[in-house]
Amino acid sequence: MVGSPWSHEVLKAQGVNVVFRMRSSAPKGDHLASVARESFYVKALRNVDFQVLEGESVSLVGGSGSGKSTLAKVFLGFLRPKEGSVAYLGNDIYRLKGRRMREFRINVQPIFQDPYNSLNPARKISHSVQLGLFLHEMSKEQKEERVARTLEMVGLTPVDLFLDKYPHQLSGGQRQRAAIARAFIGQPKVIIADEPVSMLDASVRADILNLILKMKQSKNTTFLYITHDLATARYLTERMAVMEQGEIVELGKTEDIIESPAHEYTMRLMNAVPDIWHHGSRAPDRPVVPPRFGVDSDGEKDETSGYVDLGNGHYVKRG
Amino acid sequence: MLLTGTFVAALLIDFTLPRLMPGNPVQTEVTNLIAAGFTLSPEAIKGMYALYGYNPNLPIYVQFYDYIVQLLHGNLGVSYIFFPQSVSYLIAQRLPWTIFLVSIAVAVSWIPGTFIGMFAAGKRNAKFDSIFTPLLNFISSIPNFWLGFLFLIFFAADLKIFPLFGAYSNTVTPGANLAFILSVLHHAILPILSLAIVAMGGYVIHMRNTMVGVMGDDFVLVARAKGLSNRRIVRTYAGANALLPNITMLAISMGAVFGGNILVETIFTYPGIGYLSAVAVSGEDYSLILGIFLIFTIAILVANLMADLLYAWLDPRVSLI
Ligand SMILES: Nc1ncnc2c1ncn2[C@@H]1O[C@H](COP(=O)(O)OP(=O)(O)OP(=O)(O)O)[C@@H](O)[C@H]1O
Ligand SMILES: [Mg+2]
Repeated sequence: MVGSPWSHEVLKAQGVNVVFRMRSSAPKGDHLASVARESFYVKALRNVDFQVLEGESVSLVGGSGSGKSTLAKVFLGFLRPKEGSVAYLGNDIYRLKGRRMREFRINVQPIFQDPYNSLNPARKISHSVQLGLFLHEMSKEQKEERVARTLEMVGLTPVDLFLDKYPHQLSGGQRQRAAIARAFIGQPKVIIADEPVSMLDASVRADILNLILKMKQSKNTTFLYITHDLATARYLTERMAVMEQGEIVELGKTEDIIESPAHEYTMRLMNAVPDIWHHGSRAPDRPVVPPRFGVDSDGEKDETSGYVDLGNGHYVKRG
Repeated sequence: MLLTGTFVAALLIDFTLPRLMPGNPVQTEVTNLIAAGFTLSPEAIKGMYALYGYNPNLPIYVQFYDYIVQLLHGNLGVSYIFFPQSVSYLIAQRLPWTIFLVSIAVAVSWIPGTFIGMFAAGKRNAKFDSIFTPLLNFISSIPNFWLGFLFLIFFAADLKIFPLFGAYSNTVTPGANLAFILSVLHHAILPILSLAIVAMGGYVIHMRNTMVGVMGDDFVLVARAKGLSNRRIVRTYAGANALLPNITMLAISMGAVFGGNILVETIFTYPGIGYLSAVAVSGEDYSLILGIFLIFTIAILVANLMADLLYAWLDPRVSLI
């Protein structure tokens, strides 16, 4: 992998496993009734190695249920993995305390999919956006000023009109703008956006994506973009990881993956988006050098990792 | 709007019910009174028809009009059991006791119940849940009169630390004196506890479930990402959101509290309208039953109205217009 010194890894997951226990709820009288009440396990993440590098825009693509949101929650400190380690600037996220914790909370911010659910319905927009400065040491006036400035940046103008509005008085697109303002207002290092436009009307998607692009470029924010849509991933990010059933099956430069997808699952994903699939071709067979992401860049052999190095930071899981 | 609708429906039921009953309720009561040893002149019987606002010979809309006019004058008819006292007088005499019992019971169950539910949601773990949830379900499904019965047997009959019946002891003079107030409290504790403990179980469960739902919303995750502590989120941020459904729950539960109160007052021979209604039912005192029914309906409607007002005040999405 492109020699990436330790310090440039803003977020890093290593060998992360997340397992959910589900209680089966087979309806009574069903032939499954005998197994009802038994719990079964869903492996949402299997041995995931992944890192987000400083300043980059990287996408995590995959079908529904592939574990994308789960990985986002792991990185946000909401879901402690059963196994593996997750670090922010080299420190285990789930052991952060005091000043370090504070710094993590200021610098890693989410944008969620559903703008109807991600703003508190009982609070005014000004309150929700100002929440983004919760840990910042600023006077009330400074905060208010910053809120106004940020609302203007995200296009919620005239600002005075929107400050006192409640989420239900805004359109979906306007709400997502408010959510974006809230995410960026504290000038975080990293934004993790989990399908930020998939619930929006097609007509405003491009506007919102461009807004995110503009915001992250003006602050040089590191950006983890989660989506099932390869087209927008290509538009927004330079690196890409493809997830299938809790595993990263392909990783590399966005262009490389889209030009020459190497994993069968990636190809299937691309079939859903015919226009970017066309000039793609099957990946050439390259010498097999199983790598571990992010660990030693010298191509050290590790027979257990199960990945094939296609060069240029392009890895594919062995079939 | 809905409220007026409900109220009109209640009036209509109150108006129709005696007219649906087999025979003629006024005639029934006249017979009852005569059987009880009263002598009734034809004028008195005519007067009774008038008191009911009931004259089967008039067209139905005139009857309804008369009924409303009587109601507006606070005239709910005359009781048969407590003849010649009027239903409105009887209710006015008993209602304050019931309002006293029910409002305190609701206050001491809803307020702590809501807070316990709120914090229980914040402290979610399997062990806690496996004990807490079944226990609460058990408590909330105890019939409150049965609990009252146990209290009565144990604390009043056996231990004799609480009185067996009544609202105050006959050794005190009603009025603004300490002895009277203490006596009233002493008599009210067991009935209030019987009502409150059971109701509280329901409030805790409801609040906890709502709160768990709210805590799973993305805006709570965002608040955590912003560095708000779990405690702060529970207390000031998401707590307010979960409070709203619990206010509705409070209004809905008023019906159950009033219903349960009938039996609890009966067990403690408490002079409220719950007990009065039990007496009225067993004595087939139609006008009294209907009067109390109307009062119950109004009480529940008022509770709902207050919940709606509170809701509108707290929830920006609801406006009353
Ligand atoms: N809280 C949970 N409890 C139980 N199972 C869960 C939970 N969250 C996720 N899962 C399961 O984990 C798997 C991965 O879910 P996840 O939400 O990460 O998928 P996703 O890639 O984000 O999908 P989508 O594109 O639909 O958002 C799914 O099988 C899902 O059912
Ligand atoms: Mg998801």
